[in-house]
Amino acid sequence: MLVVQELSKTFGGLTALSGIDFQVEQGSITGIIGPNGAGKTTMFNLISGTFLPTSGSIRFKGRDITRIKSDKVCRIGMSRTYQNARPFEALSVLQNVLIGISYGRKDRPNIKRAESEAMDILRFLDLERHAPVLADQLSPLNKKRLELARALGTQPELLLLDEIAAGLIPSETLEMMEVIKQIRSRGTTILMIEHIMKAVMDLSDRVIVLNYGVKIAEGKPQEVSSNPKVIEAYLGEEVEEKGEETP
Amino acid sequence: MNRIILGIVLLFLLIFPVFNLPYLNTFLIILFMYILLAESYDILGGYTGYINMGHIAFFGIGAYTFGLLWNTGLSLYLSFLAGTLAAVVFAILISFPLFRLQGAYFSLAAFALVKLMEHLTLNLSSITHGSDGLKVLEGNRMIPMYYLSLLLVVAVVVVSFLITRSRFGLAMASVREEEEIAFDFGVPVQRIKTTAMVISASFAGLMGSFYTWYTIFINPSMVFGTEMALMPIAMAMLGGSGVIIGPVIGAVFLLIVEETLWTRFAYLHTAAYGLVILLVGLFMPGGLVRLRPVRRFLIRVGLFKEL
Amino acid sequence: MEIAIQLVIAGILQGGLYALAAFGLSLIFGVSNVLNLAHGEFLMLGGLFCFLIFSATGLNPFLIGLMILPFAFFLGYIFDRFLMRPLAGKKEHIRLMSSILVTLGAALCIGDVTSFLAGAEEKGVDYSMPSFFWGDLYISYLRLLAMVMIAGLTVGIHYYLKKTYTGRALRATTQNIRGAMLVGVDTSRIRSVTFGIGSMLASIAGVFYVVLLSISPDMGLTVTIKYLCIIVLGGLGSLIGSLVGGVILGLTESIVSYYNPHWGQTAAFLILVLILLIRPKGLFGK
Ligand SMILES: Nc1ncnc2c1ncn2[C@@H]1O[C@H](COP(=O)(O)OP(=O)(O)O)[C@@H](O)[C@H]1O
Ligand SMILES: [Mg+2]
Repeated sequence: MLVVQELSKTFGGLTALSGIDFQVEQGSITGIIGPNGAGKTTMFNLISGTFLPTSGSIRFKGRDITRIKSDKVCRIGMSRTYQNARPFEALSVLQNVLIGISYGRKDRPNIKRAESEAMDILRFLDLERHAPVLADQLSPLNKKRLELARALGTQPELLLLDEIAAGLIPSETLEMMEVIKQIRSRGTTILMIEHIMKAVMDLSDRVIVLNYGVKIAEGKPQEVSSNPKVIEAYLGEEVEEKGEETP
Repeated sequence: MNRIILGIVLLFLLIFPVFNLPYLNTFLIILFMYILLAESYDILGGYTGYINMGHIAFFGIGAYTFGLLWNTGLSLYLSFLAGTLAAVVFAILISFPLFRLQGAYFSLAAFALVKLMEHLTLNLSSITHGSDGLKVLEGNRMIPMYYLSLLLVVAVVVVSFLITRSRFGLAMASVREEEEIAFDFGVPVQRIKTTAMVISASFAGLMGSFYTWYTIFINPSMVFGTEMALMPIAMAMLGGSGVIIGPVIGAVFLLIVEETLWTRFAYLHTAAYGLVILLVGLFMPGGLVRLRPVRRFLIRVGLFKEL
Repeated sequence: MEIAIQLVIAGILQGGLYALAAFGLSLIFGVSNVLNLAHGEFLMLGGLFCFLIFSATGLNPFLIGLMILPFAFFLGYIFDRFLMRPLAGKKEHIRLMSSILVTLGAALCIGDVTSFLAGAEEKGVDYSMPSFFWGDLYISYLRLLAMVMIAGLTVGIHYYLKKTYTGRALRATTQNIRGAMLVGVDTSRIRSVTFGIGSMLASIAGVFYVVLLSISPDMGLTVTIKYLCIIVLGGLGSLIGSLVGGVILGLTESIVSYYNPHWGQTAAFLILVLILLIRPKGLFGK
C-alpha cells in the first residue's frame, strides 16, 4: 500500500531524516515510535505531501507520490491528523468535517449527502451532540476526536495519526484505541505515531523505531521491544529523564 | 420573521422615491454605494480573511473604464459591462502575485496598488485628464441610479447569502482559519482566493461604472483617495466582518454618524468620526453585530448568518 | 555629471529621511505585528511642535528636535499602553483588523484635532544656512548637516539594538516572540518601549521634514502608507532593509522628478509595487 524508499529530509543544515525505508501492508496498523525530535512528524509531512523530500521516493497504491502535493494526495486516499490539534476554529464541528468530505475526495457529494455522512462520522466518534458547536470551544479530547472525524470524512484508505492519544487520560486513551481498532476493521490502513508504549504495542502489527532521523529497528512489537538498539535508545532517554529529576 | 423584516424594508426602499425627498434620496444612493463596497469587500476580507486594503481599486477602475469608453460613443450597457470586466481582469491579474503574500503584507501591497492607480490616473492625463477629472454626458440620473444601486445592494447580499450556504463558502472560511490545513484537505486554496476576489471585484467594478454615470464627473481622489479606500473596510469591520448583515450595519452606522456629526458640529467632525472608529476597534473587535445583545437580537430574527 | 551627482545626493537625503521614519514603524511592526496607521501623525506632530517652538523662540530647530524627544517617547509609550496592548494576544486576523480600526481612528482624530488647533495650512520652518561650491558642486550646509545627522542616528540605533539589553530584547522579540518570552523578556514592556522609540524616530524625521520640506496636519496617512511599503520592501525590523528601501524610493523620486516632476511619486509607487510583487518577502527575505 505504502512503500517508502531512501527517504531523506534536511532543513537548512539540519538533517531531520535520512535514508528511511519501510512498507505498510494494506489493512495493517503500523506504529512509529522514537524519542522527541526523532523526525516522526517530519516523515508524516513528507508522506502526506506537505513537505517535499530532499531525496528518496514514496509510492502509494502503486503510484509515485513523491512530488505530489498534499491536496492531491488527500484525494488519492490518504488523510491525517496533526500532533497539535488544528481544527478550523471559528467553524462548527459539522462544518469542519464537511470540508474534508467536500474537497478531500474524488467524488464530490452534494451538500445533503455530505451532511448525512458527516453526521454518521460524528455519531461514530460520539461527537453528535457537538455538531453545531464551534471547534475552538471543544474539550481537548473532543478536539482530538474532531481531528479524527475530519480525516475520516475524506474516506482515507491510509490514515496517518500523529500522537492522537497524547495528552489524554488513561481511560480516554483506551477509548481512542478502541476507536482505532474499529476504523481498521472497516478496512482502513493505519500508520500511527505514538508515545504511549502500551497503546502501540497492543495495536500494531508492526512497529518502526526512529532515532535521530534514522530507522534503528523494525518488526513485530515483541521483536522490537527486545531489540538491544531500541532498549538503548529508550534507556538512554530514561536515564536522562531520571537525571533531571535528581540533579 | 427575517423574511417579514426584509420584505418591509425592501418595500419601503422601493417606494421611497415616490416621497420626492431629493436630499434623502441622494443620501440613500451614497449609503447604497458604501454598503455595496463594504459588503463586496467582505466577500474576500470577511470570508477568506485576506484584508484587501486595495478593494477600492476595483471601483476606481470600473469608474474610469466606464467613463472613458462611454465617452467614445460605446453604448451604455456595453460600457457598464466593460467597467465590470476591467475590474475582473485586473483582479485576476493581480491575484497571482498578491496571494503569495499573507497577513499585513497582503494588505499593504494591495493598498500600494491603489496609490499606484491614483498616481497613474493623475499622470496619464492625455487619457484620463489627470486632476482635471473625467466628465461624461450630463443628465439627471437620481431616480434610475437609486434603483440601480439598490438592485446591486440586493444582489451582493443575495450572493453573500448563497456563498455562506455553499461548499465554496465553507472552503473560503477554511482558508481564513487554517490555510495550510485547508490545502491538506484538498481545498484548492489558490482558486478559492482568486474566485473570491473576482466576485468581490465585479460588484465594485459595476458600482464604479454606475457611479461615474451618476455623478457625471470623477477625478482620481474621488475614486482612489485614501479615505475612500479605507472607509468601506472600516465599515465592514465595524459592523462585523464575516457576517452577512455586518457590513450593511457598519455602513449605515458610520454614515449616519458622519452625517450627524457634519450637521451638528462646525468643527472636529473628522476627529469625532475617528474616535468612533477607534473605540469600536478597541472595545468591539468582532464588530457591532457580535455585541452580545445585538447578536442575540439578530439571531432571534434570523438575520445572523456568518461563516 | 554635476546634475547626476546632485540628484543622487538629493535622493539619498530623501531616502535617509524616509528610512528614519520607516525604521521606527518597522520596529513596531516587527515587535507587535500590528499595522500602525497613525505613525505618520507622530511625524507630523514632531514637525509641528518644532515649528511652534521655533516660531516662539527662534531656537535652532534641531535643538528643539532634541528637546521634544522625551515627549515623543512618552506619547508612543502611552499610545501602545492604552490603545495597542488590549489587542495583543488575539488571533492574527482579528488583531490585524482591530489594529487597522484603532490606528486609523487615531490617525483621523490626531490629524483633525491638529488642524483645528494649529490651522490646516502647510507649515515650514524658515531656517537657512549658507551653502558653498565644491568644485562645480553646489552643496547646502543644511542638507549636509541633515545627512550627517541621519547617518549618525542610523549608527546610533544600530549600536543601541546590538549592545543594550533593551535593544537585544527588542530584536529577539521581533524574531521570535515565544522564544523571547521563554527567556524572560517582558515582551509587553518591550512593545511599549518600541512604540516609544518608533515615535521618537518619527518625530526626528518630522523635524527634518519641517526644516527641509514642509508639514501639514493631513499628511499623516499619506506618508504612513509610503513607510509601510518601504518596510515591507526592506524586511521587518531590519535597519539596513529600511535604509535600502528608503534610498531606492528617494533616488527614484529625485531622479524621475528631475525629468518630469509629476512622475516622481508615481515611479516610486510603481517600483514599490513591482518589488513587492516580484519578491513577496521583501528584498532581503528568503
Ligand atoms: N519546518 C521545519 N523547519 C526546520 N526544522 C524542522 C521543521 N520541522 C521539523 N524540524 C526539525 O526536525 C527535527 C525532527 O522534528 P519532528 O519531525 O517534529 O520530530 P518528532 O515528531 O519525532 O518529535 C527536529 O529537530 C525539528 O526541529
Ligand atoms: Mg512530532
